Amino acid sequence: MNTRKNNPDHILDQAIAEIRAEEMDQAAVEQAAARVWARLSQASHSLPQAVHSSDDVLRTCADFRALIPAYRAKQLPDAQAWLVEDHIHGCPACRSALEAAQSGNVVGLKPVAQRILAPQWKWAVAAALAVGVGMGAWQMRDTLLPAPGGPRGVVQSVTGSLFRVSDTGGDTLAAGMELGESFRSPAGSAAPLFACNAEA
Amino acid sequence: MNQPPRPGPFPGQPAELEELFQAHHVSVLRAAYRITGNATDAEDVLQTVFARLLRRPSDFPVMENAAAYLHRSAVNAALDLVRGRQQDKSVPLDAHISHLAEGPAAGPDRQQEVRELRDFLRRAIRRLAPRAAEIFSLHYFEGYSNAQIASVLDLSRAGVAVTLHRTRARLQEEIRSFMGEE
Repeated sequence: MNTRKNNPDHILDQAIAEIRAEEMDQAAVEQAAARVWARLSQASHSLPQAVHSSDDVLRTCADFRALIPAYRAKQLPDAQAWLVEDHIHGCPACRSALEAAQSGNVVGLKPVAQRILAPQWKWAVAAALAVGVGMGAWQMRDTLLPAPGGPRGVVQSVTGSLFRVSDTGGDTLAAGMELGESFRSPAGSAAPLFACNAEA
Repeated sequence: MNQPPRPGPFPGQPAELEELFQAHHVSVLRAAYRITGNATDAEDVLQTVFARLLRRPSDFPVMENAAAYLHRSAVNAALDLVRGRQQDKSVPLDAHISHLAEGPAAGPDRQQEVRELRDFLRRAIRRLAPRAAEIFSLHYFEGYSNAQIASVLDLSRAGVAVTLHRTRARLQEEIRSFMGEE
Protein backbone atom coordinates (compact mmCIF):
# COMPACT_ATOMS: atom_id res chain seq x y z
CA MET A 1 0.00 0.00 0.00
CA ASN A 2 1.23 3.47 -0.78
CA THR A 3 2.23 5.67 2.05
CA ARG A 4 1.01 9.21 1.68
CA LYS A 5 4.38 10.48 0.53
CA ASN A 6 4.46 7.88 -2.24
CA ASN A 7 0.87 8.43 -3.32
CA PRO A 8 0.84 9.75 -6.93
CA ASP A 9 -2.06 12.02 -6.13
CA HIS A 10 -0.14 13.54 -3.25
CA ILE A 11 3.03 13.87 -5.30
CA LEU A 12 1.10 15.64 -8.05
CA ASP A 13 -0.40 18.09 -5.57
CA GLN A 14 3.03 18.68 -4.13
CA ALA A 15 4.53 19.35 -7.55
CA ILE A 16 1.73 21.82 -8.33
CA ALA A 17 2.25 23.57 -5.00
CA GLU A 18 6.00 23.80 -5.59
CA ILE A 19 5.51 25.37 -8.99
CA ARG A 20 2.98 27.85 -7.63
CA ALA A 21 5.32 28.75 -4.81
CA GLU A 22 8.27 29.34 -7.11
CA GLU A 23 8.38 33.06 -7.77
CA MET A 24 10.40 34.78 -10.40
CA ASP A 25 12.79 37.14 -8.74
CA GLN A 26 11.35 40.66 -8.55
CA ALA A 27 14.50 42.30 -9.92
CA ALA A 28 14.52 39.83 -12.80
CA VAL A 29 10.88 40.67 -13.48
CA GLU A 30 11.58 44.38 -13.75
CA GLN A 31 14.70 43.93 -15.84
CA ALA A 32 12.90 41.63 -18.24
CA ALA A 33 9.99 44.05 -18.50
CA ALA A 34 12.34 46.95 -19.24
CA ARG A 35 14.08 45.01 -22.01
CA VAL A 36 10.83 43.87 -23.58
CA TRP A 37 9.34 47.34 -23.42
CA ALA A 38 12.39 48.81 -25.08
CA ARG A 39 12.22 46.23 -27.88
CA LEU A 40 8.50 46.78 -28.35
CA SER A 41 9.02 50.50 -28.56
CA GLN A 42 11.81 50.12 -31.09
CA ALA A 43 9.74 47.74 -33.17
CA SER A 44 6.70 49.96 -33.01
CA HIS A 45 8.64 52.78 -34.65
CA SER A 46 9.76 50.67 -37.56
CA LEU A 47 6.68 48.49 -37.86
CA PRO A 48 4.69 50.88 -40.03
CA GLN A 49 7.55 51.09 -42.50
CA ALA A 50 8.57 47.48 -42.24
CA VAL A 51 5.16 45.93 -42.52
CA HIS A 52 2.64 48.30 -43.90
CA SER A 53 4.49 50.39 -46.44
CA SER A 54 4.77 47.67 -49.04
CA ASP A 55 2.37 45.27 -50.63
CA ASP A 56 4.08 42.42 -48.82
CA VAL A 57 2.03 42.54 -45.66
CA LEU A 58 2.94 39.54 -43.55
CA ARG A 59 -0.25 37.57 -43.20
CA THR A 60 0.36 33.96 -44.15
CA CYS A 61 3.00 31.30 -43.62
CA ALA A 62 4.02 31.79 -47.24
CA ASP A 63 4.71 35.46 -46.50
CA PHE A 64 6.98 34.55 -43.61
CA ARG A 65 8.74 31.75 -45.46
CA ALA A 66 9.53 34.11 -48.29
CA LEU A 67 11.56 36.11 -45.78
CA ILE A 68 13.53 33.14 -44.45
CA PRO A 69 16.49 33.55 -46.86
CA ALA A 70 16.83 37.24 -46.00
CA TYR A 71 16.34 36.44 -42.34
CA ARG A 72 19.13 33.88 -42.43
CA ALA A 73 21.38 36.35 -44.23
CA LYS A 74 20.55 38.93 -41.54
CA GLN A 75 19.35 41.32 -44.22
CA LEU A 76 15.96 42.06 -42.71
CA PRO A 77 15.22 45.24 -40.79
CA ASP A 78 15.07 44.60 -37.07
CA ALA A 79 11.31 44.82 -36.93
CA GLN A 80 10.78 42.32 -39.72
CA ALA A 81 13.37 39.94 -38.29
CA TRP A 82 11.59 40.22 -35.02
CA LEU A 83 8.23 39.42 -36.61
CA VAL A 84 9.72 36.40 -38.36
CA GLU A 85 11.13 35.16 -35.05
CA ASP A 86 7.81 35.71 -33.36
CA HIS A 87 5.94 33.81 -36.05
CA ILE A 88 8.44 30.96 -36.07
CA HIS A 89 8.07 30.79 -32.34
CA GLY A 90 4.45 29.77 -32.63
CA CYS A 91 4.39 27.98 -35.98
CA PRO A 92 5.94 24.49 -36.05
CA ALA A 93 5.62 24.26 -39.84
CA CYS A 94 7.59 27.45 -40.45
CA ARG A 95 10.07 26.47 -37.75
CA SER A 96 10.67 23.26 -39.68
CA ALA A 97 11.06 25.28 -42.87
CA LEU A 98 13.69 27.45 -41.22
CA GLU A 99 15.52 24.42 -39.85
CA ALA A 100 15.39 22.80 -43.26
CA ALA A 101 16.75 25.96 -44.87
CA GLN A 102 19.57 26.00 -42.34
CA SER A 103 20.39 22.40 -43.16
CA GLY A 104 20.23 23.07 -46.90
CA ASN A 105 16.86 21.42 -47.60
CA VAL A 106 14.30 23.78 -49.01
CA VAL A 107 10.79 23.16 -47.77
CA GLY A 108 8.07 24.90 -49.71
CA LEU A 109 4.40 25.25 -48.97
CA LYS A 110 2.50 22.41 -50.53
CA PRO A 111 -0.45 23.34 -52.70
CA VAL A 112 -3.65 23.31 -50.72
CA ALA A 113 -5.11 20.40 -52.70
CA GLN A 114 -2.07 18.27 -51.97
CA ARG A 115 -2.27 19.04 -48.32
CA ILE A 116 -5.95 18.21 -48.11
CA LEU A 117 -6.07 15.04 -50.18
CA ALA A 118 -3.90 12.02 -49.57
CA PRO A 119 -3.26 9.93 -52.73
CA GLN A 120 -5.77 7.23 -51.84
CA TRP A 121 -8.44 9.89 -51.33
CA LYS A 122 -7.72 11.42 -54.69
CA TRP A 123 -8.57 8.11 -56.41
CA ALA A 124 -11.67 7.73 -54.26
CA VAL A 125 -12.86 11.23 -55.17
CA ALA A 126 -12.17 10.63 -58.87
CA ALA A 127 -14.12 7.35 -58.79
CA ALA A 128 -17.03 9.00 -56.99
CA LEU A 129 -17.11 11.81 -59.55
CA ALA A 130 -17.07 9.32 -62.43
CA VAL A 131 -19.95 7.34 -60.92
CA GLY A 132 -21.90 10.52 -60.23
CA VAL A 133 -21.45 11.85 -63.76
CA GLY A 134 -22.44 8.47 -65.22
CA MET A 135 -25.60 8.23 -63.14
CA GLY A 136 -26.57 11.80 -63.98
CA ALA A 137 -26.07 11.22 -67.68
CA TRP A 138 -28.20 8.05 -67.54
CA GLN A 139 -30.97 9.97 -65.80
CA MET A 140 -30.88 12.69 -68.47
CA ARG A 141 -30.20 10.46 -71.47
CA ASP A 142 -33.54 11.27 -73.14
CA THR A 143 -32.80 14.98 -72.88
CA LEU A 144 -29.13 14.95 -73.74
CA LEU A 145 -28.85 12.27 -76.41
CA PRO A 146 -30.15 12.81 -79.96
CA ALA A 147 -33.15 10.72 -80.87
CA PRO A 148 -32.33 7.61 -82.93
CA GLY A 149 -33.07 7.74 -86.66
CA GLY A 150 -36.09 6.11 -88.37
CA PRO A 151 -39.82 6.67 -88.14
CA ARG A 152 -41.37 8.09 -85.01
CA GLY A 153 -44.79 6.55 -85.55
CA VAL A 154 -47.40 5.23 -87.96
CA VAL A 155 -50.66 6.94 -88.93
CA GLN A 156 -53.55 4.73 -87.87
CA SER A 157 -56.34 6.74 -89.51
CA VAL A 158 -56.98 10.24 -90.80
CA THR A 159 -60.11 12.33 -90.34
CA GLY A 160 -59.63 15.44 -92.49
CA SER A 161 -56.06 16.12 -93.67
CA LEU A 162 -52.51 15.35 -92.41
CA PHE A 163 -49.32 16.72 -93.95
CA ARG A 164 -45.61 15.87 -93.50
CA VAL A 165 -43.59 19.06 -92.98
CA SER A 166 -40.35 19.14 -94.97
CA ASP A 167 -38.00 21.54 -96.79
CA THR A 168 -39.67 20.72 -100.07
CA GLY A 169 -43.16 21.45 -98.88
CA GLY A 170 -45.94 19.32 -97.43
CA ASP A 171 -46.72 15.74 -98.49
CA THR A 172 -50.17 14.43 -97.75
CA LEU A 173 -50.13 11.52 -95.30
CA ALA A 174 -52.57 8.64 -95.26
CA ALA A 175 -53.32 5.84 -92.84
CA GLY A 176 -50.51 3.28 -92.62
CA MET A 177 -47.77 5.75 -93.58
CA GLU A 178 -44.73 6.27 -91.39
CA LEU A 179 -44.09 9.66 -89.73
CA GLY A 180 -40.80 11.53 -89.51
CA GLU A 181 -39.89 14.34 -87.13
CA SER A 182 -42.59 16.90 -88.04
CA PHE A 183 -46.12 16.81 -89.25
CA ARG A 184 -49.21 18.97 -88.95
CA SER A 185 -52.94 18.66 -89.31
CA PRO A 186 -55.26 21.57 -90.17
CA ALA A 187 -57.92 22.76 -87.78
CA GLY A 188 -60.78 20.33 -87.61
CA SER A 189 -58.67 17.33 -88.65
CA ALA A 190 -57.67 14.41 -86.46
CA ALA A 191 -55.15 11.58 -86.91
CA PRO A 192 -54.60 8.92 -84.24
CA LEU A 193 -50.97 7.79 -84.28
CA PHE A 194 -49.23 4.62 -83.26
CA ALA A 195 -45.88 5.33 -81.77
CA CYS A 196 -43.12 3.07 -83.09
CA ASN A 197 -41.42 2.64 -79.70
CA ALA A 198 -44.69 1.82 -77.93
CA GLU A 199 -44.69 -1.58 -76.31
CA ALA A 200 -48.39 -2.26 -76.98
CA MET B 1 10.32 49.35 -7.02
CA ASN B 2 11.94 50.23 -10.31
CA GLN B 3 9.49 50.80 -13.10
CA PRO B 4 10.40 49.91 -16.66
CA PRO B 5 11.27 52.90 -18.82
CA ARG B 6 8.28 54.54 -20.43
CA PRO B 7 9.27 55.71 -23.89
CA GLY B 8 5.74 56.77 -24.67
CA PRO B 9 2.73 55.31 -26.39
CA PHE B 10 3.21 53.31 -29.53
CA PRO B 11 2.83 55.42 -32.65
CA GLY B 12 -0.42 54.61 -34.33
CA GLN B 13 -1.46 52.40 -31.43
CA PRO B 14 -3.83 53.27 -28.64
CA ALA B 15 -2.26 54.35 -25.40
CA GLU B 16 -4.20 51.44 -24.01
CA LEU B 17 -1.32 49.15 -24.96
CA GLU B 18 1.10 50.92 -22.70
CA GLU B 19 -1.40 50.82 -19.88
CA LEU B 20 -1.89 47.12 -20.46
CA PHE B 21 1.84 46.52 -20.34
CA GLN B 22 2.27 48.45 -17.14
CA ALA B 23 -0.69 46.77 -15.51
CA HIS B 24 -0.08 43.18 -16.58
CA HIS B 25 3.57 42.56 -17.40
CA VAL B 26 4.23 41.08 -13.96
CA SER B 27 1.37 38.60 -14.12
CA VAL B 28 2.27 37.63 -17.68
CA LEU B 29 5.90 37.03 -16.73
CA ARG B 30 4.97 34.99 -13.67
CA ALA B 31 2.40 32.89 -15.50
CA ALA B 32 5.00 32.16 -18.18
CA TYR B 33 7.63 31.37 -15.58
CA ARG B 34 5.39 28.83 -13.86
CA ILE B 35 5.19 26.87 -17.09
CA THR B 36 8.68 27.35 -18.48
CA GLY B 37 10.61 27.48 -15.20
CA ASN B 38 13.03 29.83 -16.87
CA ALA B 39 13.31 33.62 -16.65
CA THR B 40 14.66 33.99 -20.18
CA ASP B 41 11.78 31.99 -21.59
CA ALA B 42 9.32 34.01 -19.54
CA GLU B 43 10.78 37.17 -21.06
CA ASP B 44 10.31 35.71 -24.54
CA VAL B 45 6.70 34.98 -23.69
CA LEU B 46 6.12 38.52 -22.46
CA GLN B 47 7.49 39.85 -25.71
CA THR B 48 5.41 37.43 -27.78
CA VAL B 49 2.18 38.32 -25.99
CA PHE B 50 2.59 42.07 -26.38
CA ALA B 51 4.04 41.83 -29.88
CA ARG B 52 0.80 40.21 -30.93
CA LEU B 53 -1.12 43.08 -29.42
CA LEU B 54 1.16 45.52 -31.20
CA ARG B 55 0.42 43.87 -34.53
CA ARG B 56 -3.29 43.60 -34.04
CA PRO B 57 -5.32 45.42 -36.66
CA SER B 58 -6.70 48.82 -35.81
CA ASP B 59 -10.22 47.42 -35.89
CA PHE B 60 -9.37 44.71 -33.38
CA PRO B 61 -12.22 44.53 -30.89
CA VAL B 62 -11.63 46.11 -27.53
CA MET B 63 -10.74 43.53 -24.90
CA GLU B 64 -13.45 43.26 -22.32
CA ASN B 65 -11.32 41.33 -19.87
CA ALA B 66 -7.72 42.20 -20.54
CA ALA B 67 -6.36 40.33 -17.54
CA ALA B 68 -7.99 37.06 -18.57
CA TYR B 69 -6.97 37.54 -22.19
CA LEU B 70 -3.34 38.22 -21.30
CA HIS B 71 -3.24 35.42 -18.76
CA ARG B 72 -4.47 32.96 -21.31
CA SER B 73 -2.13 34.35 -23.96
CA ALA B 74 0.80 33.96 -21.58
CA VAL B 75 -0.10 30.38 -20.73
CA ASN B 76 -0.52 29.42 -24.37
CA ALA B 77 2.62 31.19 -25.54
CA ALA B 78 4.59 29.50 -22.77
CA LEU B 79 3.16 26.09 -23.66
CA ASP B 80 3.97 26.70 -27.33
CA LEU B 81 7.51 27.63 -26.38
CA VAL B 82 8.23 24.56 -24.27
CA ARG B 83 6.46 22.24 -26.71
CA GLY B 84 8.61 23.48 -29.54
CA ARG B 85 11.70 22.16 -27.90
CA GLN B 86 13.08 18.69 -28.02
CA GLN B 87 12.05 16.64 -25.08
CA ASP B 88 14.45 16.70 -22.20
CA LYS B 89 15.70 13.49 -20.80
CA SER B 90 13.25 12.28 -18.23
CA VAL B 91 14.59 12.03 -14.74
CA PRO B 92 13.10 9.15 -12.76
CA LEU B 93 11.28 10.35 -9.72
CA ASP B 94 11.87 7.34 -7.58
CA ALA B 95 15.33 8.57 -6.68
CA HIS B 96 13.95 11.86 -5.49
CA ILE B 97 10.71 11.26 -3.66
CA SER B 98 12.02 9.59 -0.56
CA HIS B 99 11.92 12.77 1.44
CA LEU B 100 9.09 14.63 -0.18
CA ALA B 101 6.66 16.38 2.11
CA GLU B 102 8.67 15.43 5.11
CA GLY B 103 8.95 18.73 6.85
CA PRO B 104 10.27 22.12 5.88
CA ALA B 105 13.81 21.01 5.25
CA ALA B 106 15.65 23.52 3.09
CA GLY B 107 18.93 21.72 2.66
CA PRO B 108 20.56 21.14 -0.71
CA ASP B 109 19.09 17.65 -1.03
CA ARG B 110 15.60 18.89 -0.39
CA GLN B 111 16.07 21.77 -2.83
CA GLN B 112 17.26 19.36 -5.46
CA GLU B 113 14.26 17.13 -4.86
CA VAL B 114 11.86 20.01 -5.22
CA ARG B 115 13.59 21.13 -8.41
CA GLU B 116 13.30 17.66 -9.86
CA LEU B 117 9.65 17.50 -8.91
CA ARG B 118 8.87 20.80 -10.62
CA ASP B 119 10.81 19.79 -13.71
CA PHE B 120 8.98 16.49 -13.85
CA LEU B 121 5.57 18.16 -13.84
CA ARG B 122 6.62 20.76 -16.41
CA ARG B 123 7.87 18.06 -18.74
CA ALA B 124 4.68 16.07 -18.26
CA ILE B 125 2.52 19.11 -19.05
CA ARG B 126 4.29 19.77 -22.31
CA ARG B 127 3.35 16.23 -23.41
CA LEU B 128 -0.34 16.84 -22.80
CA ALA B 129 -2.77 17.75 -25.54
CA PRO B 130 -2.75 21.54 -25.97
CA ARG B 131 -6.27 22.09 -24.66
CA ALA B 132 -5.71 19.82 -21.65
CA ALA B 133 -2.43 21.57 -20.84
CA GLU B 134 -4.10 24.96 -21.07
CA ILE B 135 -7.00 23.97 -18.82
CA PHE B 136 -4.70 22.28 -16.31
CA SER B 137 -2.38 25.31 -16.15
CA LEU B 138 -5.17 27.83 -15.82
CA HIS B 139 -6.76 25.86 -13.01
CA TYR B 140 -3.82 24.62 -10.98
CA PHE B 141 -1.20 27.29 -11.65
CA GLU B 142 -3.28 30.40 -12.22
CA GLY B 143 -6.11 29.57 -9.83
CA TYR B 144 -9.00 29.81 -12.28
CA SER B 145 -12.22 28.12 -11.22
CA ASN B 146 -13.93 25.64 -13.52
CA ALA B 147 -16.60 28.24 -14.25
CA GLN B 148 -14.01 30.88 -15.16
CA ILE B 149 -12.20 28.49 -17.48
CA ALA B 150 -15.49 27.47 -19.06
CA SER B 151 -16.28 31.12 -19.70
CA VAL B 152 -12.86 32.03 -21.07
CA LEU B 153 -12.61 28.99 -23.34
CA ASP B 154 -16.29 28.84 -24.23
CA LEU B 155 -16.69 25.35 -22.83
CA SER B 156 -19.18 23.75 -20.52
CA ARG B 157 -18.28 23.46 -16.85
CA ALA B 158 -18.76 19.73 -17.11
CA GLY B 159 -16.33 19.60 -20.01
CA VAL B 160 -13.72 21.49 -17.99
CA ALA B 161 -14.24 19.21 -14.99
CA VAL B 162 -13.89 16.07 -17.11
CA THR B 163 -10.72 17.38 -18.76
CA LEU B 164 -9.18 18.25 -15.40
CA HIS B 165 -10.08 14.84 -13.98
CA ARG B 166 -8.61 12.97 -16.96
CA THR B 167 -5.50 15.14 -16.97
CA ARG B 168 -4.90 14.50 -13.29
CA ALA B 169 -5.37 10.80 -13.86
CA ARG B 170 -2.87 10.83 -16.69
CA LEU B 171 -0.30 12.75 -14.67
CA GLN B 172 -0.76 10.39 -11.74
CA GLU B 173 -0.20 7.51 -14.11
CA GLU B 174 3.04 9.10 -15.27
CA ILE B 175 4.13 9.52 -11.67
CA ARG B 176 3.26 5.89 -10.98
CA SER B 177 5.20 4.84 -14.02
CA PHE B 178 8.24 6.81 -12.96
CA MET B 179 8.02 5.25 -9.54
CA GLY B 180 8.23 1.83 -11.14
CA GLU B 181 4.73 0.69 -10.25
CA GLU B 182 2.36 -1.09 -12.59
